[in-house]
Amino acid sequence: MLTIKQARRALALFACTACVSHPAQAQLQPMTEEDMSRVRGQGLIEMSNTTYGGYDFSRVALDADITLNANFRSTRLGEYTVAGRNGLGADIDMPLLQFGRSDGTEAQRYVHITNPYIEFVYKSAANGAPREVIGMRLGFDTISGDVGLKLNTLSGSMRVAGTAADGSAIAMDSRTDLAGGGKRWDGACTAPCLPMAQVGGVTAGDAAGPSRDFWISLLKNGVQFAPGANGQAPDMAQAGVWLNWRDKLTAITTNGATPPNLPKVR
Amino acid sequence: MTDHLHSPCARPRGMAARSALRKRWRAALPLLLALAAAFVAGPAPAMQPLADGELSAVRGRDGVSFDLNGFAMSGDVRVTYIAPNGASIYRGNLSASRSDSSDPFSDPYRIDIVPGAPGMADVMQLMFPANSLGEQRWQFAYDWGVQANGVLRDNGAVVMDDFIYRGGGLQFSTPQYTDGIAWGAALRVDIGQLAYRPMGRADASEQMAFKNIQLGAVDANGNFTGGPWQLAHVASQPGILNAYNDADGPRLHLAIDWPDARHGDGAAPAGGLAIGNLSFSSTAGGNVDLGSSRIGSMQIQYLDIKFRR
Repeated sequence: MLTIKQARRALALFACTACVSHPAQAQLQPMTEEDMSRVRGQGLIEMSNTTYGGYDFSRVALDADITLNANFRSTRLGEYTVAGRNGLGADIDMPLLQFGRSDGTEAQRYVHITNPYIEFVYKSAANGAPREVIGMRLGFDTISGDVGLKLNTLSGSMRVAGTAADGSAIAMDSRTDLAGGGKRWDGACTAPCLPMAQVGGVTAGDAAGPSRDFWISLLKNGVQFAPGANGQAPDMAQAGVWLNWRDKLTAITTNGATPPNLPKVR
Repeated sequence: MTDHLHSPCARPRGMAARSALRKRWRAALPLLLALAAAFVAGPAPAMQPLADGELSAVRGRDGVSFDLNGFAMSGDVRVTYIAPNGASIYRGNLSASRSDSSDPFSDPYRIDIVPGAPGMADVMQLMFPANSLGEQRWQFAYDWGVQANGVLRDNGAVVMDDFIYRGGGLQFSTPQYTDGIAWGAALRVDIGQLAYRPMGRADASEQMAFKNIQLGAVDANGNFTGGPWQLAHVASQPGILNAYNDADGPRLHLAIDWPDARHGDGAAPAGGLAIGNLSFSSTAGGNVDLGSSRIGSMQIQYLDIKFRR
């Protein structure tokens, strides 16, 4: 039996224990080892090292799904003089690039992108020669949605399918530029075709899935990149700034008109 | 008495007494002046209790500033990010240093708590130095590499010369509609050179170099205004950082919402990016000059990034 003194001590000890332990029990719960085994860190970045065609590639990508609405204007990339066809003095002259549009449905406001990446290209060292940086490329694993687009000059490989006024299939295709191989192409073509000046935008992707080969490279010499997510080897990227985009592109307009892309009113 | 004062014998004693009296008056003068001032000012008002409403209106007017004048660091530090699949990327041997103006500590970083827009929570903001003359210049260098696909590649070094912040800063607050953190950011950055050097930071004979990079706000014609480009603002176009729960479970979520016309003009601010020159140097492969590049105007009207599990 407790004496009065012992009872006071026990009561005080119980009170202290209750004060300390109750809030902690409300916040912290023990985990079983099975629960613990299911806890995994999230991946923010993906990395890869590959070798292809005598070059080494180190890629760093955001492991993410991105929804975007954005406007880019007056873009000129690679302003230097090219012997032969100098064009407008830049590898890419793009007055307008709009991700999303504001004149359609709510879904059409957005462009969806997965895994944007940056990839560095090196030339493998051999016979004690120093390792050489060849350039880099920026791209997405996939992209889908409506992209407003005006191009004055293209250096790259691009194909956009369209429909002529009579309902026949036409296309804008840089492979038709036999004279320049797609370098500083002004988009002119021999009918029946879709001149670049008549393209006001593209729908990327179709019912079967998104477009899978969008990238821009900055290179000191031509590089053959490995086949992409669509399984097809891209055209060889030339030196300078080079844009590759051929997979599942359909012209939004064939009269050169670009859809508006105004912000949503809140 | 008069005789005492004027008698030859009494005169020295009278002078001594007057001198002592003057000293006492001088000593007592401050106290008397203080009493007189208190009499003129009247009695001090009594302390009054503050009502809860008044108390809630009391805001701190203090803040914290710090300066990195002459800052420099270097060392064999390596930071490695390891992805769930085991691939990794590292940065090592980081060095950073800053040169400054002749007037140190005159243009610090500032941290303040400021009132939010009407109806919104207060905002913690970190303001970068205005650095209007561009005298605060950073020099950075680090080594980097990627281990993936069973291969470890040491990719050399990244060197940034004359990295200059000019104004701008960061904001943090409570979101209006969701949980997490609302954020804002504005940047004006000039970089003298950004170089990728596969043979190491000291070997500029092998490099890919971007020179004279400018990032900042532009006007409607695509001309740099000299001010920072506001990517997000806690009121007029809030950035959000939180965890997003969908069918696949919680995901880290980083976003910039549509512009809010209730707290601005309803338009996303425009920024420009200019690169003065891109060139390649190589003793083995020769030199190539790809000239300048520019994006005249960029507007991010909506951005939503959900990282995968």
